[in-house]
Amino acid sequence: MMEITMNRFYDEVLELIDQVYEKEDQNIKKAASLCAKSIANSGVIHVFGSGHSIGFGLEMKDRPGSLAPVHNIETTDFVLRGLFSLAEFKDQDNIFERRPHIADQLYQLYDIRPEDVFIIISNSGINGVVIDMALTAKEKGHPLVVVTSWQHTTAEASRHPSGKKLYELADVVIDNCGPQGDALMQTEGKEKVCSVSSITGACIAQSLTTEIILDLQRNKIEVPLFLEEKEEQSKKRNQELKEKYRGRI
Amino acid sequence: MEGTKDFVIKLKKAMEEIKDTQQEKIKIASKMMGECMMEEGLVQVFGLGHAREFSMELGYRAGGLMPFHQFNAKDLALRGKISAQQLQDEDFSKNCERATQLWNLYNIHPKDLFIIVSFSGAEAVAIEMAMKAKEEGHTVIGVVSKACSENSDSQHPSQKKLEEVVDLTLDTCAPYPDLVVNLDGLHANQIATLCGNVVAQMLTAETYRYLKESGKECPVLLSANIEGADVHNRSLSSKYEGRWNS
Repeated sequence: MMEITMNRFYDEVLELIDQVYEKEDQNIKKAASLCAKSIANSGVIHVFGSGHSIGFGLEMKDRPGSLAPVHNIETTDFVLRGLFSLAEFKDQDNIFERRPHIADQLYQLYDIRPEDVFIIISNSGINGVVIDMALTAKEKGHPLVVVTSWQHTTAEASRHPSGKKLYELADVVIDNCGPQGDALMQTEGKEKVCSVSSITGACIAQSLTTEIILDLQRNKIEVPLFLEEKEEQSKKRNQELKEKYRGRI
Repeated sequence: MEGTKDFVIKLKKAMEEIKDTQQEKIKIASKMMGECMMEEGLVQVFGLGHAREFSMELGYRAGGLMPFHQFNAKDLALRGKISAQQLQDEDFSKNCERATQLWNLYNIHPKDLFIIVSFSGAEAVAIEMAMKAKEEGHTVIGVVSKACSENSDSQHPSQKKLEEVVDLTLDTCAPYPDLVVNLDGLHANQIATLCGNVVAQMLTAETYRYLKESGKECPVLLSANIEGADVHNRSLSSKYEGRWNS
């Protein structure tokens, strides 16, 4: 058994990053094209992932060099908007994300328009709320991009009543190239150490931003990109973008 | 010039720099974390906004170590200490009072170690939190993007930067400005969080190694797909009940 060291992790994660770009380049471009089309029609990209997948949405928004029309769907918004108390939300006997119709209610919580596109992230792609959200998005006619671990999602059965897995609902699937269970390095015991999905996921999120911009530029459409606020002009531009998408992002 | 290729080149350059310049520091930090865990301390991790990705990278996940607690600014609004509106305030990171309010939400033990992340090294709330932790006698590790920090002025009333307050500083090695791709004059993409995630996983690997070499049990959380993972993970978390999830 090889020893666990930071260098071993480093080498293995570099290999995985290369794998993502070799294998998924075309899928990232296809997904970017769906998003660019939506943005060209004044649409917004809604990003939804539960647990650690929340990081994917953070990568895509709210800083210089990222696109303005990106919205993160988060279940805690139910509490922030006063629809559930924190105690109701955290009820251990009735796990929030496994309750029926949560996805419908989430969908209704926001200003989501027909021209909008969805990105849903789940390593396993077999659990309730993400599949519910994907079903809702498809039912309402939105294009859907799914980011999942191919190795993981093909190894396990769906836990959704429909028997479906997340990737089956997608228009474009991007494999984050992570191993089943996400942990990377086998130790001498039964445990594996270090996880990779948020690193490869962040690569995918950043590359989506790049490719969406390129797609918009090719089609001569103005790019709604947040700028670094060095001058008054860029501050003004950022304010204009926030105004344009107010209440939607 | 192709956008994605350019992005990968920049990312790998920064990662190379992590490997070349941060290894010794990551080893020292991991030893601090391992020693904290051996004494049943928790590692408290705090980062605002995008820097929260660093805490999420370490806290409660498959392949990670159990003894972490994540500070989350959103808890202030979820627990009714501030309004949802105040959470969105553009000056949130400049308001030192938020550090104390957040501190008071959680169950912090004297043996706990702190990791505080601020890519600019200049955010008032992060610096205030680091000062508070030092005052209370905790060891504090800072994570910054050094190039960005060198180009930022402190927002804290003391004019101090995060590096000046902490015991050890790790660098994400992201460049300044962290807009690594130029697409026909549009500056896009940031890599500080991504590099931070890499540093966080390197810390996990080395802390694991340190505990093993010290002959200790390693509290590694198992992936849910491994048989018995639920029971195993619950037995690890129950030891820190009311602390890891405070």
